[in-house]
Amino acid sequence: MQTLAMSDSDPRTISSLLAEVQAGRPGAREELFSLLYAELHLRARAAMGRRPPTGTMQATVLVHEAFLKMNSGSWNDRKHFLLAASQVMRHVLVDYRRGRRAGRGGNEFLEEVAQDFEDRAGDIEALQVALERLRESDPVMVQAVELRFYAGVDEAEVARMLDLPLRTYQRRWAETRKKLFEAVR
Amino acid sequence: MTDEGRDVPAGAPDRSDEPERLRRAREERLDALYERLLPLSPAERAAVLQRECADDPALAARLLSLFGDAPPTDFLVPPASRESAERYFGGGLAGERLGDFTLLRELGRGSMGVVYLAEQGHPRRHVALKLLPVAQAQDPSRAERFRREATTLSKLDHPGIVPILAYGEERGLLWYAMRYVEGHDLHEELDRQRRLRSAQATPLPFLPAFDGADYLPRMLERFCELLDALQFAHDAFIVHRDVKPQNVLLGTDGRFYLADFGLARDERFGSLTATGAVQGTPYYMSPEQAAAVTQGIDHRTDVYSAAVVLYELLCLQRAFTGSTQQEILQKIGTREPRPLELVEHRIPRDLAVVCGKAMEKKPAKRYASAREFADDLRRFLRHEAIRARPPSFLERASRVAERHRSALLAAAAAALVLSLGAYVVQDLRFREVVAGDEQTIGRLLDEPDWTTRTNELVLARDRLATLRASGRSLPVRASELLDRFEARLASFKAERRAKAEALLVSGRSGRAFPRAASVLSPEEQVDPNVVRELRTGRNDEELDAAMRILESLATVFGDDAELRAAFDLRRAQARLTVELPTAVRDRAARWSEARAFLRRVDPIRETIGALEPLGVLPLLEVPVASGEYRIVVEIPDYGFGEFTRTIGVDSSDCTVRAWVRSTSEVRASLRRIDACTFRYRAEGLKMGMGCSEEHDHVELATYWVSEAAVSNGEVLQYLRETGTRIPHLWVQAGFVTGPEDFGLTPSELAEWYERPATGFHGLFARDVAEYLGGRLPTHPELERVKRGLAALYYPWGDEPDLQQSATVRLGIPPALRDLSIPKKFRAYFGGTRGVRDPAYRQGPEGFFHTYGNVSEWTESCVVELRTDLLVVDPNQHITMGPAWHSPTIHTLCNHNLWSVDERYSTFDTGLRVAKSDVP
Repeated sequence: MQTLAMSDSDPRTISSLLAEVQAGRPGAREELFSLLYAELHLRARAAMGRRPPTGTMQATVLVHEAFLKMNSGSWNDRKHFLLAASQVMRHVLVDYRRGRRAGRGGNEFLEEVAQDFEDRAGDIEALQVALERLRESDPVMVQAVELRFYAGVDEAEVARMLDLPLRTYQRRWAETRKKLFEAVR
Repeated sequence: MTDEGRDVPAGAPDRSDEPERLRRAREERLDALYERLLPLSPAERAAVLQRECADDPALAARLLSLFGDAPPTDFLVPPASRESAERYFGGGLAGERLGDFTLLRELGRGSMGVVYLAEQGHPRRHVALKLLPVAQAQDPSRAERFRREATTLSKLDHPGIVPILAYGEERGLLWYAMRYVEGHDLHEELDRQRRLRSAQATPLPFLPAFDGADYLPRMLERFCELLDALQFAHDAFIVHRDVKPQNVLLGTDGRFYLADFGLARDERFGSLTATGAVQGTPYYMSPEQAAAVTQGIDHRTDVYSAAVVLYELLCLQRAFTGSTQQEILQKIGTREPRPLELVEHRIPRDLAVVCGKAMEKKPAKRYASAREFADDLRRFLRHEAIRARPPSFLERASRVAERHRSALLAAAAAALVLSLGAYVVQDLRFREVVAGDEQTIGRLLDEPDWTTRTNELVLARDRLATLRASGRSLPVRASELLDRFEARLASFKAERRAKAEALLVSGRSGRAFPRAASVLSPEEQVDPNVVRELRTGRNDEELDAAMRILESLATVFGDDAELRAAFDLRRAQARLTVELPTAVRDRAARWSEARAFLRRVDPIRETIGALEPLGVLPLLEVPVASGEYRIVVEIPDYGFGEFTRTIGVDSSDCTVRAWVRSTSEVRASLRRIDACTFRYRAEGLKMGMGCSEEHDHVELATYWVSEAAVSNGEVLQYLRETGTRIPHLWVQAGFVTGPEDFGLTPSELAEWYERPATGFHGLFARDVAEYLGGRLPTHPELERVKRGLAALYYPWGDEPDLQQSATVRLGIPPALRDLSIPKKFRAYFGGTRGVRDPAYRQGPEGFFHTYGNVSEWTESCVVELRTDLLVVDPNQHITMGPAWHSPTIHTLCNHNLWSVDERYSTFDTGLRVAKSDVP
C-alpha cells in the first residue's frame, strides 16, 4: 500500500517533501514530482471504471485537491506546490499522448483531460517543446503558464506569486501567449 | 518590490546587456502603454503609438504586434474556471444555504473538511458548520468517516465537548452543525502567551499571563476539565487520536472544549482509518502512533497526547521539535523530552513527575486513564502527595537501552527484531542465545568491513548488556568479547567523529578557485612561491555529509551526552525567526503584510545574491541552511529593512528584530551614491583580506549612506527606546543612569552628545544601524565613501610622495592600552570631535571624518588568508579608517580586523549607517 500513501489522506509525505524542496534539499523536487505523478496515474486508473463527475474539471481539480490536502496556507508553499503539481500534469499528459502515438492503449479519463487541454492549447506536445524553449529566455513566464493554464490559478494570484505588478504580468502574458501560439500553430 | 528586474524580460533576451535602469524604465513604459492601448480600437492604437513612441519604433512595433493577429480567445485559458474548482473543494460557499443554515464565512480548513460560521434560521443563532466538500464526499471511505464523526459526536453529551446540532447530506456534500464556541483554539492561546512573554504586541490570552502566579492553578483546573471530557469519550469507547492544541477550543467563558473527532475511533468496532498510515500533526503523536502501529492504539494514546499538550502549557515549548516530520517522529519514538524543570524553572518537581508519567513511551507505564491523570493533577493542586513516582535510576538506565533498541528496530531487519523478542522471554534458551551472540560478535569483529555492521553489533551488545544488568553471570568468553567489542565500538565512534569533524573543517573552508592574476603585484606574478589557487567559501556537500555522519552516530550513541551536545543537529539546520518590534507595528499601517526575503551574501566575492522569498511575518523558526545572509523585510507602502546575519555558526538560532522604518524618513538623513563599478586599485596594499585577493573590483548597486558617524545622542536614544543593556565600557566609564554620570562638565556633556558613538562591539554597532532603519555599510561601500570613485589613497590627492607629509596629529598619548577605562574614556573624549565638525569634512567625496575621529564598522566578515586557504571568519568584521589615537593617518583605505563580540568593545570604533536603494 506504500504507493497509495497520498490517496489515503496522508498529506504528510507531500508537505514534508515540500518543506524539503523549500529548504533546498537536492532531489526533493524530483521526489515530490514522482509522488504526484504516481498519484495522478492512480487516479487515472481508478477513473477507468466510472466516468468522472464533471470531466473537464477533474484535471485542474486534482491539483487543487492535492494542495488542499497539504493543509497549508502560505503563498510560498502554494506557489511551489502548484508549480510542482502543474509540471506533473504537463508531463503526464505529454507522456500519455506520446504513448498513444506509439500505439499504447488509451485511458478514458486521461483522454478526456488531454482533450480539454488540447482544445485550448493545440498540440500539447508542441506546447511542451515551446515551453522548454521559452524557459531558457524567460523562465518566469513559463511558471506563469504552468500556474495559469495547468493549475488554473487566476491571474491576480499568478501575478502575486511571481512578484509581478498585475499590469506587467498582463502585458507579458499577452506577449507570451502570442509567442507560444506562433510556436504551436 | 518586484523580481522583474532580475528576470530576463519576455521578448527581449537580446537586451540583457542593456544597463539595468534603462531596461527597467523600458519595461515600465511598455506596461503603461499596453494598459492604455488595451481598451482602444486598432485605429486609436496606431494613433497613440505614433504620438507616444516616435522615438522608439521598435517599441511601437513590439506593442502593435501584441494586438494584431491575436491568438484565439480561449488559447491557454485553463479548462476549469477557478470558481467551480473552489466550490468543489468547499470554498466560496458563503451565502449558500444548507438545511436550516446560511453559511456566513469560512472559519478554517482541516484535512477532514471545511468549517464555516453559519446562521441557523430557527432558533436564530450562530453555529459552526463543518462540511465535507464534494471532492472528498465522492470517496466512499471518507464519506463514511465523516458520517461516523457526526455519529460519534452525537453520542458525546458533555460540557467539555462541542455538541452537534444537526446533520445533513445534500448536493453531493456532507455537513453537520455544531455549537459555535466563540473564542480561539489552544494553539492561538499558546501563541498569545508566547508573544506576551516576549513582550510582543498580541491580543490578550484568555488564561492569566504565563508569568503570573495565577497561570498555573487556573490553567491546570481547565486542563483537568479537558481530561474529564476525554475520559467521558473514553467511557463511550471512543478514542480521539488527535489531541492537539488546534483541537482544543477556548471559549470566552474560559472553558476548554474538545473538538474535531475526525480521526476518532470506536474501540469496539475498529476504525475506517486503521490503514496504518500515520495521521495528524506529528508534534503531539504518541510513540505508538509515530511507529504507525495500529494495534495497541487505545485511550492511553490520548493520555499521552494530552500530556504533550500539558508539557507545552507548562513551559510554552513543544516537547519534540524537528525540521522534518521524520525527525520529529523519530524523536518521539526514541528520545526523552527536555526535563520540564530545566526548561522552566518555576515548574514544581511533582508537576513535572505527573506530566512525565503521562508521557511515558510505553502505554503500560502511563496513567491507566485520563481520570487517573486528572486525579493526580488535582492532588497536586490541593497540595497533596501525588501518586506518580519519578523514574528510578535503574529505569532511566534501561531507557537508554530501550532507546538503542528502538532506534535500531527501525534500521535492523525484521528477522533480528523477532529473534530479540523471542529471546528475552525464553529463559531456557539462555545459554544458546549467549553462545549465538558470542559467535556473532566474534565473527563480526573479525571481518574487515565490520564498521558497516554496527547495527548488528549494537543489537548484540544490547542483548548482552541487558543480560549482564539482569544479574546473570556471563560465560567468561562472552564477557571478554563484550569488553573487546565495547572498545571497538568506542574506537569506531571516535573514528567516525573525527571524520565528521574533518568534513566540517574542510566544508567550512570550502572550494578551490583560482586567484585572480590582476590582484597580484608584478613581482608576485613571477614568484613561484606565491599560491595561484585558493580554497574558499563553504562546501555545503561536505557539511551535509558531516551532519549525516553525526546524525547517524547520534542515533546509535544517543546516550553519549558529549556527542549530543557537540553535534546538535541545529548546527546543520539553524532556525531563523523574524519578528517586527512593536514600535514598527505602531508606525507602519500595513505591518501585517510585512514579508521577508533572503539574499545570500558571498563574503569572498563581496556579492549579494537575488531575493529569495521567505514568507509573511512573523516567521518562526524557519530552517535555513548555514551561511551568510542578508534578510530583507519589506512593508508595503512603507519601507524595508536589511539585516545581515551569519546563520548556523556555533549552533545559535537567529532571531531578527526587524526595525523597518519609512524609506523617506531614513533617506532624509542619508546621501545617495549611484551604482558604480568600484575598483580597489590596491596594488601593493595586500593585507590578507578578500578585497585584494580574489578580485580587484566590485559592482556596487545604488545605496545610501550617512554623511557622518552615528553620534552618542542617537545611541542613547536607541538604548532608551529598546531597553538594551548599556555597553559595559560605558558602565565602567561611569554611566549609571545617564551620561551625566560620566563626570563631564555641562558644556562637555553637551559636546558628548555630538561625539561619534563608540565604546561597544560590532554586533552592537550593527543593531544600532538597524534600529536607525539602515544597516552597516559593506566593506566596498565604505571604501567607496572614503576613497571616492577614483579610489584615492590620500584625501588631498594621490601622490605617493605626499605620504611623508600625511601625518596628522590628533594628540593622543601612545600608551593608551594601559589606561584604566575611565581614563580611556577621557582620552576618547579629548581626542574626538563632533560628528559634523565642519573642519572634518574630508576626502574626495566630502563626507565627514573619513580618516580620523573614529574608525568605522562594516558588516563584512573578514576573509583571512591562511597559507593557501581563504577562510571566512564570521566573528571578525572589517573596520576601516584610523581613529583619534593614531598618530599617523596612513591612507584613506586603512583596514582593520576586529572581533565583533562584546569582549572586543573599544572606544575607537564607531559606525555610519548605510542602506540599499531598493531591497
